[in-house]
Amino acid sequence: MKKWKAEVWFGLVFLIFSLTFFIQSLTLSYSGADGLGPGFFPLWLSGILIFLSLCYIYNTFKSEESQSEPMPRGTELKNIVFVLASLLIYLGVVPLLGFVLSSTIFLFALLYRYYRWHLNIGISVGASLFLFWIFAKVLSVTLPVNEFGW
Amino acid sequence: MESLSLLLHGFESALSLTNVIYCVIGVSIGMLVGILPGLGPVSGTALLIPVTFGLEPVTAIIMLSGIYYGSMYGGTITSVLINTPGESASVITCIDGHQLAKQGRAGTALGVAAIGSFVGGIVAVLGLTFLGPLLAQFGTRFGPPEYFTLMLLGLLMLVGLMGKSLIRGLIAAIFGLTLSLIGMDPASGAIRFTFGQPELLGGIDFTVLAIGLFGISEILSNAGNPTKMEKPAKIQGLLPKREELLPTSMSIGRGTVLGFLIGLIPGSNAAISSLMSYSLEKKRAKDPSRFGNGAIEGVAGPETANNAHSGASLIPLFTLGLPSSPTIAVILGAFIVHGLTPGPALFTSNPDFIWAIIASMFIGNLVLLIFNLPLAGVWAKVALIPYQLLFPILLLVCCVGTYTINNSLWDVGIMVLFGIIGYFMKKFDFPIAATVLTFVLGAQLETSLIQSLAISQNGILTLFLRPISGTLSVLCILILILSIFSAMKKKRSYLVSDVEV
Repeated sequence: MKKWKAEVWFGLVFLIFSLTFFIQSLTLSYSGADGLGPGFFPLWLSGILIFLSLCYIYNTFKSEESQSEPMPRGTELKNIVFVLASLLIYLGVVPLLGFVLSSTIFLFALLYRYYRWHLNIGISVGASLFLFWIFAKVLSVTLPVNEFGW
Repeated sequence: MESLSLLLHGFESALSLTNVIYCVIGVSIGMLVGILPGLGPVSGTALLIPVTFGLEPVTAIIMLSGIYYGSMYGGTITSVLINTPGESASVITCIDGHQLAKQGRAGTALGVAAIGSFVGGIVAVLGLTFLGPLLAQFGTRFGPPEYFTLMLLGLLMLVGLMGKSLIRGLIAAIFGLTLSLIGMDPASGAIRFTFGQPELLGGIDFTVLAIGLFGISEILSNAGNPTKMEKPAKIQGLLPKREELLPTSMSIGRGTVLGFLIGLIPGSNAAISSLMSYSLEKKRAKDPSRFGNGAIEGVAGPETANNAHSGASLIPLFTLGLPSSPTIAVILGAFIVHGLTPGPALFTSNPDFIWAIIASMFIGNLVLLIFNLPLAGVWAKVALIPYQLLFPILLLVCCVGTYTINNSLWDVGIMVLFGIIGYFMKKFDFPIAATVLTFVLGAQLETSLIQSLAISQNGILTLFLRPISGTLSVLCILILILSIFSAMKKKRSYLVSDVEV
């Protein structure tokens, strides 16, 4: 069996998305007081989207040469996964450690490969403090902070 | 003449110290956003909306629109100096602009671009001054069927005329529409597609979606493939040679008209204007082979066109309340946050507001001219910030900006999710602009269709029977047929598929 192209998978994501919405919209009333109800638009839209995703998947199966870029591989994939993972961990720890500390760690991790550690610490601490100062002090925006208030 | 006196009145308000300061801040951020890769005008404006909460509405919109037209100037600098467009409307400028830089004429390219941008921008604002009130008057005759068909027309143009494939465009557009349904239905109060999450009751916030799809996805793509940066060229001399003066000013003139007209069409975007201007200049040239080897007209035309476009595209927003591009959609969001509804009534109900904004655009363009003529070298230094240092900080700024909208980490999570979706959409050539625009227009489209059918005696036929909406409906069908036909024939023009402006 030929290996599925990445585009087919992406098409499947849209298909699953539209199927979920289609099934959900069946539970909404199709007609309302003034004619059409809250179910009308979703039903048609998700129905059309199901049709389009199927067309798209069919097309990508049919076409021999892939028109677009291949899936990320090797270093590219590693870079992206690393950035995303750092981002998710950052979101996880920010309510616990507070903005300044978690941002410092986040920046330090992402800059690790490019700068020597002492320079890196300087940049990470400096940038985090600067952002904290701009947003929390100058623009008085609420940021997630730890028990000490930063 | 009435416009003139109102405009003078607007200058009074726009020239107040606060407004001038925020106008300068706005255009400076616009320049930065235009220069820095990974942060475009959409994310730039979206990130700053929360910052404007504490400001007067006039000041807020002055600043946000400053970012919008400022970014058009900024993108040129990196295109010319390091062959990397900061935003999509300047992609075409790379071709001849960078060639000029290689020949040691970077200064000329930047100078001409700055002058052209200024002319284009000012003419567009003049157009807004005199055409705006007329169009707004016309707009008061619009009912739900007219709004529905006009929005449909804009979306079809966006999907049908751009991008590599019709199917991808349609999927992107309907994906955006479907996402806009999440939350409480404004008409009936029904709760839709929240999957039991209380955070989704209010729907997905537009700015969260825009920052994710445009900002995060761009950062991810760049982080995956770090590009090597070239050393920027030196800048000397800002004016073209004497024998180039006439052709250059002709290109600027043509670029202005072209950009302005295309800017009026909802759904078109500035990159289309600059592309069309480039091909027009190439066709008009006596010796087309010069293009690609540093023809000054190849910089003057497109750069003028994209600025004329960005000014003109504010006209549909101010007069009809319809955004024609994702950045304008963000500005529309800012209007609503500040309790204003853009649309035909705005000119009569808030004239002070609207004229102050228009006046500020004259001031902003003048500031940008100064930024770009004598100070171009200073801005070029910004382009030297290494990307590996820039992108973690940009990510952090996106997170903070998104968090501040509702003080919720849930939003930041949603933003990351859309960043991933946007990354793949980019990879597989889905037009992100279509998703973002349909998302904004989703609620309006649904209500206007339901209202049209509710007031109609003839069901769906009402869209064809009223004169204005009838014409628009016929145009919609024509465009749909045309784009299906071109998709079948595989003769689609390979225009830029992912356009941010």
